[in-house]
Amino acid sequence: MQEMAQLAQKTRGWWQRSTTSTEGRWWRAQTHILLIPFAIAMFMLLWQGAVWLGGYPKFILPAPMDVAQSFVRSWGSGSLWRHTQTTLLEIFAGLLLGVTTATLLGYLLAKNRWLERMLAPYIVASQSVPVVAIAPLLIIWFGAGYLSKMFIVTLIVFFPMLVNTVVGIRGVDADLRELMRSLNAGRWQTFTMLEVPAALPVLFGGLKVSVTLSVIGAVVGEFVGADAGLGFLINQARGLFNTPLVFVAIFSLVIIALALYGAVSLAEAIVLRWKRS
Amino acid sequence: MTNDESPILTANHLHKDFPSRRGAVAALEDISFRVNAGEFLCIVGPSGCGKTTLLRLLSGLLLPDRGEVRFKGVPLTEPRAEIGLVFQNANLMPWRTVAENVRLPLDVSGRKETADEQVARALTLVGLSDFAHSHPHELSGGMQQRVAIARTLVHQPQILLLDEPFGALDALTREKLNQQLTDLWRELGATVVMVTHNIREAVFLADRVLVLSPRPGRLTAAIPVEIPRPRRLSLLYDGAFNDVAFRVRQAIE
Repeated sequence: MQEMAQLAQKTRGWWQRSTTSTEGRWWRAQTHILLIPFAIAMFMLLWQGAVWLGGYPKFILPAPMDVAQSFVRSWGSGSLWRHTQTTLLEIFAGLLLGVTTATLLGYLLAKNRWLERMLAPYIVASQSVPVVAIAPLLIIWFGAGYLSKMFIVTLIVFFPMLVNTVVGIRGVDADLRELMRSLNAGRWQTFTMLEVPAALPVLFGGLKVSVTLSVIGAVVGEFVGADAGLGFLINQARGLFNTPLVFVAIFSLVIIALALYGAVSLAEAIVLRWKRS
Repeated sequence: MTNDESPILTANHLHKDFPSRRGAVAALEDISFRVNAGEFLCIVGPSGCGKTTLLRLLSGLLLPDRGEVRFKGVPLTEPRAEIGLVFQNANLMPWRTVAENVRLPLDVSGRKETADEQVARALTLVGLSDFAHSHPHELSGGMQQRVAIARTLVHQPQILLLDEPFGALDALTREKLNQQLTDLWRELGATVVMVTHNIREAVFLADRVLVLSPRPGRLTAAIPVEIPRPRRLSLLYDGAFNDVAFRVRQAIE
């Protein structure tokens, strides 16, 4: 009995030790990651089953193998990577512009009720118009290149980021504000030592919503008018009845969205590790 | 005690109003008193009599509508490092470790050369050296409040202003922390002004008890507590102690 207990002590294995490091904790929190290959396999099986049973032609529902071939071909020719790069550029540029402006304006709105009352109607009104409806305008103004898509992404990520910034800054504990005042802290010190760390959890929430919306924004823009990008590729392949290529483009978009979301989650886990310990 | 009769802090005819729907309501009226260097002064009064407001005035966090607070003869217009304020709740930043929380005042004032030593010393004073790298949510309420006290001590303030610091804790923890607080005060030779609604706590801790009336707060009595120190917990069940406590109780009515 005792020996077993000692053995158990000695074999406190890698999975327990790994929890001491931040990344280890993150991975442990993501144990459902092991379920992902299983889920993918199930999905493929169902998909293949539907193709066999239904006997659909390739341009209605291509089999997984057809899509894989299409992927290899479009990747090999470099066209898939070229379109992916375009979409990624639009997403990153739009996120950078949208998230920074929304955070800055959100901070000002949170600090200044007067400004908020003045601007709130316009901000809400701008959100009641679907981005698809504004997209043609932006393309008329900024052309079919990546600039118009960048602005569409900016527009779509702006609101959730703005709202979360306002909520995050307003939510800073009033007692902690008073503590900073009792220490004679300046505005900048209150900003860096209190407001930023206190609002970070809410800001990360906004960022998670924003990165997923940014993919939608880029594709919407590319659908309305573009000469490159994964949205453009979908449109083009559809016109040529190249359904396998449509699938390839859709899966690429899914992977981009998942990667962005995962990156934000990982950053959150590292920055906010105090919440887990 | 070390009463050298030189006031380190004086309150001269303090008035403070608070806005309400029916116009300004007087929270404090004509409050005057002096705090001697090295003294342990307690201010007692019922809820809502403006105790907390008075303490904020003494710290420079609030300014009076009339009258003035003087620190060593100089009018007080803003918070200063020599006057340390401990709030009702611990007010710790959850994302900072215990040591980092204690370090906050030094980060703000930019005095960082000897920060590590100062933090270590403050933590030793409150007996929390072993918890330097813990986060606040891993500590009990009493420990959190001790971290808050260490944070105030890190600047080596000459006056410690305490706003019912143990009010949210259970009675036994409270007794123990009060005992530790008197030990700390004797060790540091600092001046302490503490606000509380607990009469027995006030009498146990203080050299002098000031009594505030219900709203608007006015000073109604100043009762010296001439019970020798060190005072031990058994004192709480002693006759002389109860006599003073009863006098304070009567002064509140």
